[in-house]
Amino acid sequence: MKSYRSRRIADAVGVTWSFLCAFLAAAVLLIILGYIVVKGAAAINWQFLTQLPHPVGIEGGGVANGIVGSIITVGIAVLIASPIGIMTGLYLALFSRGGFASTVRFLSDVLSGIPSITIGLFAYALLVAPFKHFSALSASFAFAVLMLPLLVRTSEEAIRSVPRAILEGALALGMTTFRSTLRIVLPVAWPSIVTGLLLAIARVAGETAPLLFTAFGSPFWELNPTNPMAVLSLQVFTYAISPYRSQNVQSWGAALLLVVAVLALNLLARVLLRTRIRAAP
Amino acid sequence: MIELATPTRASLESRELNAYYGDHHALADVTLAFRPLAVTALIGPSGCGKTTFLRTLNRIHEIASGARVTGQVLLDEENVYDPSVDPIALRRRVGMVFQRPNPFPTLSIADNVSSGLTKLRGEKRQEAVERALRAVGLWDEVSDRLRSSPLALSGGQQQRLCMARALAVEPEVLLMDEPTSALDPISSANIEELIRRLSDRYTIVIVTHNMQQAARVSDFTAFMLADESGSGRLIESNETNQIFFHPQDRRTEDYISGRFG
Repeated sequence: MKSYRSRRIADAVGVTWSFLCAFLAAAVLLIILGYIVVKGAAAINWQFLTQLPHPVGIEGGGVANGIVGSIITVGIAVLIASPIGIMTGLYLALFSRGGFASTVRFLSDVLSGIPSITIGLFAYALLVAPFKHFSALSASFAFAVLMLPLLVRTSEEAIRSVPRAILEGALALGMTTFRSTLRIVLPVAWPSIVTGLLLAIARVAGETAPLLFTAFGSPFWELNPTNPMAVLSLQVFTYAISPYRSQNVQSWGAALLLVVAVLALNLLARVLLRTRIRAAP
Repeated sequence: MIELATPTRASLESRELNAYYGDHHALADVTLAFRPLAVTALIGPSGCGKTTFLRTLNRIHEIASGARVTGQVLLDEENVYDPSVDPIALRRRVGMVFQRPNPFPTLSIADNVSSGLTKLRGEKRQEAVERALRAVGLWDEVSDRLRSSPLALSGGQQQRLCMARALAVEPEVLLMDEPTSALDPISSANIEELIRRLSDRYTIVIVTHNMQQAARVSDFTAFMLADESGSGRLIESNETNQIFFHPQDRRTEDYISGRFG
């Protein structure tokens, strides 16, 4: 039989080891964040946020078109994905046992595992190649497909977490299942659904691969979603591989903007979720 | 007393009613006629099928997956399980109050009461809300905060709000599933008094595990018990006094006298 002492030592080693791993994981994130802040902060100023990119080789200029482009592409993606995703989640939550529901759930899980570049390629084949024209819309489509499985899952969870007694109460009043769900159950689940939506936005906001052959990028002010458009994450990529030092710095600046936006969305989601938990009886 | 719907003598009865949850035969061959404009209590130990029986009467039982029913429930001689009957229309005639107060958390107090009203608009709607809240004795307590959340109300007030919500639809039958089991004694007494007052206008069926409550509020009592295979059966039903003082069945007597359950 092992002695008490050797067991204590083994225990201490195990605990220390797992602590070091946890520390390392947190450290990696902090190092990345710190590095981006250090490198990117130098690039960020009023001009950077409000001006168009300058032609290659000329100092200065900004990523204002990319900021607006990110908002437009992600915004359209939200408009496409959220009604489909939320209604699908609602269907799965209400009719969970059917064969069709489990098929949908399985397909949604598969979809969430497909690499984003593959989805970009699909968007290219569907919306770019036939028109021989890059467009922000095709990027939004790719984003929407990426968001869909996340929205389906979080909406299903959110709606399922609403006490069954609330749905029954509505049904017992002679409301139809659909009306009960839409008017009574959905509003209760709403904060959690919005949280899921924010996290899905944070997830796609930094996606770059599907943009390479959809939004394509643009040096101009572009507000028309049927045209190629600058997007922040794409600018990070093109500036990073540019041979010009000034553009490399701007790449870090754009990356910092993205990180801040994603962080803000995550924080907002947490705040929403916390108020939701406090509101629950 | 504020005028609610004119009392209608809707007759309600079950015939050879069986209910299942998947493979589980929860309710076996229950035949029982409810006296119109009276309170009938369903009593029996846990798992005797009394709640299942209640839930078959407004067809809310069937929303659980794998749930099904055979036999008949007759409301004014019409079988509510006939394919031509719309469960939505049925539930507007047969209201229900649940074990735990379940106000709709995102709607205001007034909107909770009017949530089942589909046709009334404007002033008529407000009148219906006031009428229902007065009927459950809640109007004076909430009339100054109709627009606020129901979650700020006490448990007893929430349960009366749920009763007002059910009554606003002007049902003929009111089903109550252990409506006081989550409430304190004073709130329970309020609800019981309310049930007594409502009994001259509605046919009321109340499930209770509390025999004293059954004795206090009901005119008729039906005693149910699960058989060896776990299926709930109706053992005996009669006027409440008869059930409590002269039970015909040995098992009823054992239950009433506290020998089991």
